[in-house]
Amino acid sequence: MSVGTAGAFGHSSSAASTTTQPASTTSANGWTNYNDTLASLQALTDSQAIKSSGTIDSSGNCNLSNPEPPIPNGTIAIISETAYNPALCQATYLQGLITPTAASSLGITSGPQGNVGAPATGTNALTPGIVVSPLNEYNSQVFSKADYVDPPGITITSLAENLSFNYIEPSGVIGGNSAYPVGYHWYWDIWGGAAATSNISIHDSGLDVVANGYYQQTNVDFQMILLGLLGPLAVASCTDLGQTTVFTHDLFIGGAAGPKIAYSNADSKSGGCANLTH
Amino acid sequence: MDRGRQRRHDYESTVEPKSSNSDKRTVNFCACRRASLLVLGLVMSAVVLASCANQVDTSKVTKSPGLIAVSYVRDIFSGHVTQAEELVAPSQRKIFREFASQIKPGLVSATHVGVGSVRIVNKTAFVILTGRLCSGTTNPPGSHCMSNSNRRSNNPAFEVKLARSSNGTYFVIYQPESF
Repeated sequence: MSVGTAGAFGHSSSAASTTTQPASTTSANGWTNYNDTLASLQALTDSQAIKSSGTIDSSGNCNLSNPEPPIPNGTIAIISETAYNPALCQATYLQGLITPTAASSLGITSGPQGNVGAPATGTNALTPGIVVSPLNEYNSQVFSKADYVDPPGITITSLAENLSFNYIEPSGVIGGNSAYPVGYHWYWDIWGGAAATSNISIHDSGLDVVANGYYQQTNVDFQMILLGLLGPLAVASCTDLGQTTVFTHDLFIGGAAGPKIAYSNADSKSGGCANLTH
Repeated sequence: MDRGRQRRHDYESTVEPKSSNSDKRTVNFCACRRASLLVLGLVMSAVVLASCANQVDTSKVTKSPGLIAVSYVRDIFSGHVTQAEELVAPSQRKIFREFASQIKPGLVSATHVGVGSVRIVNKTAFVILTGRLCSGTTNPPGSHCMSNSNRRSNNPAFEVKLARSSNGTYFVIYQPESF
């Protein structure tokens, strides 16, 4: 699996999925479709499908160019990866807008909060002295989520994140931003891991802001459950039996002048039977 | 990528180090080798004959859960997935296909697979297999093998569950209530 490189609005992406239940499905042509993503579960307006094509580097990693769709000022956007083909190094995304009520129902507004910059209230916090009209100050949010799903369709781990960013005209400078990450792991498994964290940073002289959510969980019994259920079939289908299974979500969502939003991830999985998850 | 530390299964049977992949000496022996020696000594016990049951042509035996389990495992690990699927309860073949599609034929193998013990509870048979199973590894690319010579092993890697259908034929199952 590819591991993306960090950077504002220029991350490479990986094979991580963005689904909730039920599972993803993989077709014979190599596409894995994520059937119930955070975006597809909402009533979207101004929705659009986005396709991204990348290149496979010498290490076999797929480096995708990231979607950066524009959104109307002052709106709340969701973007999710909906399909991925590692052989073609292509991915599709669904992006749209949701209402404040729908956003609050997502529950991604609590937890460890990342912050950067002072709230922009008409004065550009990053460039002191520039006063802009409040009429030209907008606040937008973007939500996204990355998951790992096992073959029976159970979401094993996920990380959802909500980035709120301010965009100020005419300077076009980002200021006053916050992000909430919410990690999840399947209750009935046994885990040893860390809490979700979020680092938020501003790039390009204040023209864009990126929230980097991170969530890693070490699974104690995933391969044991599969062995118990499937016996020798698990031995044949799993790789790396006996090695500790680790799922890592490394999710990037961004806001930029325009305004526009961005999405990428650099999720990874390793250890016993991790090859069976999408 | 952090692949974590190696851990050994806490089972009665043996998880072999990767370096032992080609070391036949560490593999549990087939009881039939013993039989050959015993025949030479003009001794042939019923126990030894029973131990050689895994050498019977299993395609001609349809109602023995132990032999069906052996055929099923041999087919899985030798790339005969279609034949293995025919031994799975029809209601659970979707599960089988889901996982079988992930098998990397060149990295898995099963040798000296035999019936260790069979325990039947109502319509369900629990077969403990003996032998050596190898699965794939990614770092480094290769195989990782485990062996079992314990007829009463509690290692789930060597257990196959089967359910008896209305005509008496056993089919491999992964979940109860298959028929």
